[in-house]
Amino acid sequence: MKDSIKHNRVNFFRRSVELTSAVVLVLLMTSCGKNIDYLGIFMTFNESPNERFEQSIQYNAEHGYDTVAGVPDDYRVYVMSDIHVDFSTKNLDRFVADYLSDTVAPPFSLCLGDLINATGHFDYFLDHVQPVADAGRKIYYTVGNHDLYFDKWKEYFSKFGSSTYWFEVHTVGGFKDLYIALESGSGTLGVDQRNWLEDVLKTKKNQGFRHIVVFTHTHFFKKDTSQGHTSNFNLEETYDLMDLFDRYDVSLVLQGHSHSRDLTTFKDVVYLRVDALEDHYPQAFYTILTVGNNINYEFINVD
Amino acid sequence: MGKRIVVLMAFCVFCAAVLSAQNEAKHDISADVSAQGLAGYNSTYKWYGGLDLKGNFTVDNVNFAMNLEALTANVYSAGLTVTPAFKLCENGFLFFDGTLHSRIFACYKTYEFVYAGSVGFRMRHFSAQVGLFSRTIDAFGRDWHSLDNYVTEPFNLLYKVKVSVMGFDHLWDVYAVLANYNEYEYERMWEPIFSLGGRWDFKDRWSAVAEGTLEPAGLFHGTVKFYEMTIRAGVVYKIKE
Repeated sequence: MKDSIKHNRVNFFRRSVELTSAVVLVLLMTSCGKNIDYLGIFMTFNESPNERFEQSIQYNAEHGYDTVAGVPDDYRVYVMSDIHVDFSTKNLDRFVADYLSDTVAPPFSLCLGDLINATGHFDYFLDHVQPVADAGRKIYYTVGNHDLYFDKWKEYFSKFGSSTYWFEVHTVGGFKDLYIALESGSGTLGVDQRNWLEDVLKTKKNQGFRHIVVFTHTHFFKKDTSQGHTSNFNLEETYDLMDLFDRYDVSLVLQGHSHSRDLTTFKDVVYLRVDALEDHYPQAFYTILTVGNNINYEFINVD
Repeated sequence: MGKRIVVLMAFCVFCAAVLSAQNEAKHDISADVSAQGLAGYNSTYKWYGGLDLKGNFTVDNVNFAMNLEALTANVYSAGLTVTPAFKLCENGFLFFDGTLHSRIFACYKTYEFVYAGSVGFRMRHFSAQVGLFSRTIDAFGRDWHSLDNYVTEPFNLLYKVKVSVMGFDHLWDVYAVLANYNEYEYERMWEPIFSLGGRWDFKDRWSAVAEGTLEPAGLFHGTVKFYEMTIRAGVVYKIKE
């Protein structure tokens, strides 16, 4: 009799543990992870890189490609990455204020992705960069992995538009620079975007550009332990893209994602991985490129 | 300097392990060779094929494995792994892996060189391994007197977990592997390679082997996107048992 009662208690305890574990697991995987899409471990629910690329190209066909004219021969480009806005925008506000106070800066700056962390903060981000648009200037964006989690691409696309595009900068002295935005939020360009990149580089190769600057979110190299927590491109794709950049004389490849700075020259192409601008990050910086006959870099600490 | 001392010490420990895994009496020797064809698809080369050749040579408890791979994408790899093993319990072995591996991407005029060290434990149905590897990436014809440089990835975690249904020594077996490397490639930590394979010893010295691998384009906080799929199939011939 005692054994039977004990056996029933053990069974009840075991079932309770199993049920609780199952409930916790389901909660974790469906909604509780603020910054982690647990179900994505097993399958993806949002668009593939090829599908996002198609939408970007459709957007480009409707809106065209920009030309920024009347820029001085030597000009300063403000670059930010990995802002991860949740509820504070201190560093973003500083970037906007510094950029707008630079009266000789050209009317464009670059943002390399990871604008926000969780869902519902794109509007908050946009509110804080509105002064840039009000001043008649523009920020060119490309999407980061955090901007894609929780099926956020649709919202990103509706608010920021294409993530794969190019624009030209024409200087008063007659120089032309080409800027190409690549979408690498999933750690791969996908076949279609990769082929588009080669087509663009092939078409533009003999059009007399002084510099070709590529900017994207995911970084290519993993040179020290600071990138231990981040995913990269797969190696075949890394080597393929490096070969493309080399063959078509790309001057500079800007990347973010790892939150740590690195400057590497490989096959005569400069790869600059910029710091994070995230609030509360111990080493938050934005970057200023001085583009002339050469490209120089300045890193501005916002702490 | 400190890192060099650690690497040197690890190398010395590895050499000592290789020597101490030998028997003093007559040596037990076994060897086999393997040839496999492969077909794959990835987001970079699209469809590709290839040929793998492997050789295994075991003296007492030290295994020497050599592997070569040629892909139609104009990519080639070669590797040599030395694995001394020590019996810890009834069916359990502690082992150390030391590997030199290189992949040549002739299509991109780029090559990489990997050296890896790991420690593992294997039983009949289970094997787990963890270690570190370093990778150097360089280009053909680099100008050594310019700013252009090779790239070194000094700290990459290496891991492999293998589960076998029937046991590695059974007449036939089905196994699953989660790792960030195999005989032909060493991926970064968050770009895992999932494998499902089988082996059937269909004749005295002959075995048929097949393996499918699936590789995502990184684990971005858990979210995965397809990158590569490969299927390999071939035979193994035991030269000496």
